[in-house]
Amino acid sequence: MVTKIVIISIYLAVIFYLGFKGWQSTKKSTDYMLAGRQMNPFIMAMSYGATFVSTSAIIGFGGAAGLFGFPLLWLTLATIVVGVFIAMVFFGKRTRRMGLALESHTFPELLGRRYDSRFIQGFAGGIIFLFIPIYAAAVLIGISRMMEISFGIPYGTALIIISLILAVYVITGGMKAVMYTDAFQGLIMAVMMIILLVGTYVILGGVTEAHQTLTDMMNLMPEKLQKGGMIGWTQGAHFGTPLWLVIYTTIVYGVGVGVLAQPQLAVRFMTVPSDRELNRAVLYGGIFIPLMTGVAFTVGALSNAVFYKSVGKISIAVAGGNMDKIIPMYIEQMMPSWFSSLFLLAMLAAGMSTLSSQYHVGGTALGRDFFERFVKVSSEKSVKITRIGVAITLLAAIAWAWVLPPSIIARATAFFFGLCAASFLPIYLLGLYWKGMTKRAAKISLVGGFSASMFWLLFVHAKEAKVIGLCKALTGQDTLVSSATKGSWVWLLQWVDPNVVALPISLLLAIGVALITAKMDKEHLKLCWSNI
Amino acid sequence: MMLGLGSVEIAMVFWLCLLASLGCVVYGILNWNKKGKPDATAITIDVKKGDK
Repeated sequence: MVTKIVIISIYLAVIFYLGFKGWQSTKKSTDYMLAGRQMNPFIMAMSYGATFVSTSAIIGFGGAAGLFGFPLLWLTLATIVVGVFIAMVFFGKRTRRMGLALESHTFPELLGRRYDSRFIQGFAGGIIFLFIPIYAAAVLIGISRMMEISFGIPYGTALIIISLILAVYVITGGMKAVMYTDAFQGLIMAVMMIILLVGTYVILGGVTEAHQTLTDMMNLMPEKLQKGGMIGWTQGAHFGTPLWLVIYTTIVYGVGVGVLAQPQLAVRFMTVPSDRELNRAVLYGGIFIPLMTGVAFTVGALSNAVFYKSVGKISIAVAGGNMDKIIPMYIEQMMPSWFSSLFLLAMLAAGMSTLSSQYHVGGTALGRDFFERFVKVSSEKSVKITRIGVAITLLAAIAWAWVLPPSIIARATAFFFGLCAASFLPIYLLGLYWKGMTKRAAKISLVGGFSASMFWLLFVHAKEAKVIGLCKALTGQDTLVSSATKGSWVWLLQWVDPNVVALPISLLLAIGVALITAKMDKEHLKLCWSNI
Repeated sequence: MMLGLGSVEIAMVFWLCLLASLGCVVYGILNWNKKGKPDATAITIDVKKGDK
């Protein structure tokens, strides 16, 4: 316990120091919102990665790898190719250039100015401000539970302590404080993951030996999983079986294309001074991201071999059937005790780095996008309102964390990712690359994608619709399709992810309407493309 | 080549992850100093002045 307290104290001292450095060099609204557009590429990449990967990605998906094994590495591949390369090279560079030409300070502002529409900025800002607290609450719940287990601090107290720490440096230091602390937190995460990977391979006698041990354990795969289509942890699943579908749709679900339209990630592209920094960020991100997801999934899968070697049980049996406990139990039981304290710190860092960015983007959405640009409050007050916005986002996240049910973490994360993808991705992508995209098409796609996503979540997709209960209150049924014939395609719709429906609707609306509505003013387009 | 993994698909994705990561590193090194077309907007000048 003393070790844990000492380690956490040193960690907090560094965080506050970095927060102070951020505050000290924050003078203008560009500093507060975009770190003065002069950010170092290493800090940008680490901040992007640490924001992208939260505690739940490591613990949750790492646990899934404990159950399903190595096929989860397809998700790692997607995070590297889509989340780093495509994001930085194809979205990042244009976002930075267009953002600069249009003097945008936030992601909604970029969309709003690209389409010359205050409505788009206000609406996008509104969506972010209203819904990011739910995503933040999911992360907050995760780390508060962890503090509760490790330190014996009551859940509610942990919630308040973590929020207060974050409040101090996000509200005062803005984007610079967020990014500096993110980079430090990312560094801790990277070091811990390297130790975890090396430690696991050493326990099992080397890379090939470790894999071979797990390969030879295929007959230990639980019968229920075998029936679902699983062959083994290093063999994957039979093509087209239910578990094959679960694993591969998880990949779309886990990272999908949603990552490209995350406002808290996209805004980071605008914090660097030139393409050079984004090129360098590809290198850092290309190492950092596989270190997070790749290591978590590899270790999650190999935990079966380690547990079997020492206690004669596979991971899911050791974890008592709860997938989310596989990684924590593996760290606690199979790694040295000094490591478990440090790993706890890494997980705290992973959660805090994601949270700080969520609060910051929630605050700028309210201050800059909604009040300053949509309601037209004077820009002198912008930073002040943004600070208040951060505080409100933080309080809303605490409130959500208090009321949301315990098993909500993954669902709330997927909810926000899905909502952002359906609402923003088509108009963001087309806005960057297609001059023929029109203002009306953007408005219709934004509102249409958002509405389709919300409708599916509230009335069709069983996972959310049941929990929220609005459909039940209005129609007496859990979902609109619950009463359809069992096994029919209509009935199956309740398991179809909102993204599968809402994103294509939003994309079709954008392209379809753009083709039949008046093109945007040539002078305006010239301005948008002036720096590309 | 298989590294003890049980199927070609899994061995392939294992290598693809390493290759993708390496690809990002190589891209970063090759483009390390490439700034692209200089920014031609007023705000850059403004920001730089403000920071000094």
